[in-house]
Amino acid sequence: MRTTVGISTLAEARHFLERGADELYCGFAAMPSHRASAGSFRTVAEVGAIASLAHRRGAKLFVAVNEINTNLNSAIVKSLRSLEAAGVDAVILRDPALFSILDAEGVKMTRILSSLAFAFNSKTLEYFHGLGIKRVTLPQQITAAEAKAIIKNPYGIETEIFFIPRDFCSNIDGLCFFTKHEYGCVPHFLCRNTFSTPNGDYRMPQLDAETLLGMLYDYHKAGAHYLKISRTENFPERMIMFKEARLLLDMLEKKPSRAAFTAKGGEIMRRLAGLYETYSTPGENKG
Amino acid sequence: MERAISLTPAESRRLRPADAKEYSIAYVGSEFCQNLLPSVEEFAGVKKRLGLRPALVTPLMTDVGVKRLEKLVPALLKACGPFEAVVNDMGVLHYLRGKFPGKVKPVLGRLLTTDFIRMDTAFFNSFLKEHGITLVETDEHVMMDAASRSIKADFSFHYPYTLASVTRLCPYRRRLIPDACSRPCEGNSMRLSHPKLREEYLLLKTCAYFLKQEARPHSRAARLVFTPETV
Repeated sequence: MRTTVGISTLAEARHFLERGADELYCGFAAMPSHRASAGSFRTVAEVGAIASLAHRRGAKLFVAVNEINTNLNSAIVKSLRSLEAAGVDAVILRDPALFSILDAEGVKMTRILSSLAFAFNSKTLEYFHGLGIKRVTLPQQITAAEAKAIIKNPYGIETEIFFIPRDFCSNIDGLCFFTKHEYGCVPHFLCRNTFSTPNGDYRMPQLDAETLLGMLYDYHKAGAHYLKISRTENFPERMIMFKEARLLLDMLEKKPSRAAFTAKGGEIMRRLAGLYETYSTPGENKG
Repeated sequence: MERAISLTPAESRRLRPADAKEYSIAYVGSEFCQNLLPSVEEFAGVKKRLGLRPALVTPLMTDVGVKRLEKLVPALLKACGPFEAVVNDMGVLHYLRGKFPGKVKPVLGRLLTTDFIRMDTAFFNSFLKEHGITLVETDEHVMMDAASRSIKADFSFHYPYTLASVTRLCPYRRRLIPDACSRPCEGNSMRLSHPKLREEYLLLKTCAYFLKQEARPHSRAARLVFTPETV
């Protein structure tokens, strides 16, 4: 399984490439992206420099347009043309309308389907295959068993998963509207609070480390191609996540049993837990 | 303006005819969980017992859910004739449109509308036409205000709750929704309180969280869909 890491600076790109990242992705300020938009690059030259750096190391660079803003569609088309010329290898898309606009405008960049397009089944994949995607990022809340036919799809579409052990929301990303209702997400996490009910306390479900490691194991075994470290605004956290992901992937390459992987993986996660605490966003309640 | 009531399968069995009088349509199923598809009996029972026109409600689905739907839809058509299906999954929408044109009338569910309503209007209108969709669902006044002038479809407005969040982690079993379950959510909606909430409570119903909103009908809503806290 290869690795894809979200970045916000040239230094971050260098850090992850030097440590073996296979692919990087970023945001571009003129185009809408889901979360961490403050970390989007502002100039084509900056992105071009990272693309060159990535290519010299045999890696790739993608750009995310994984939010919807009709008013920016012209700017998106213009930006993508420039970014493609600057060496960006693919675009991460969510909006079906934008696929059609890019077709009409002759933008031929390789297309990756965002997890925010909710490809939970083969028929959805089939629809987006018709729109020319070459890869799909699976939503977090689907298991490898449920995604079996998507992973083994007949179209040659590659599959990418999130680094589930550390990047798994209680609710479906893209269908969680606490932010829209002004309750925010990171670092406030309404979803991680304890609520009162007439029958006692209630917490939104979270999966434990063993279950999440088991999910990663199953995806690796099922043949998912890429593991993605999300582009959060917390670089130290991403550094630890990448290190942890590499340790876990190295372990998976040795083909351990599921039980052995979840046990040993759990030890790694516990060992690194202190580092996460040190570098977590101020005010963040890890629940 | 049409009035609909949105019911889980168990609620559709429990609703008393006297409480169904103000509605002409009953949504049966779930916008959020694929384990809450109705049986043929439950779907047909809405017409027989309550005198309401049944509409099938479908959520985001995995391949397991789609397979169930592939069996269910022909059976519903056989038992009840053509019907409306509220669709919240792109793959399901294409399946229904491709396989049952003229028999299953798709309604764009609010999980899809959330994105579509923000898309390029020309694309959205052409998508609606191509898929035979004439009714678009939402629970957002702001979105409806913005879109109702340019979208070539009628709007169906959900009240008295607006969707706050959806999960595939079953709040009752506290694990990813299994392929089969005993529906522990049925009849067990919960009011969740927290000092951070401006609203009195967050409502947990099936595997979605809601906030109460003002129940005034939107002036352009062709249909109002009422979701009871429980039945």
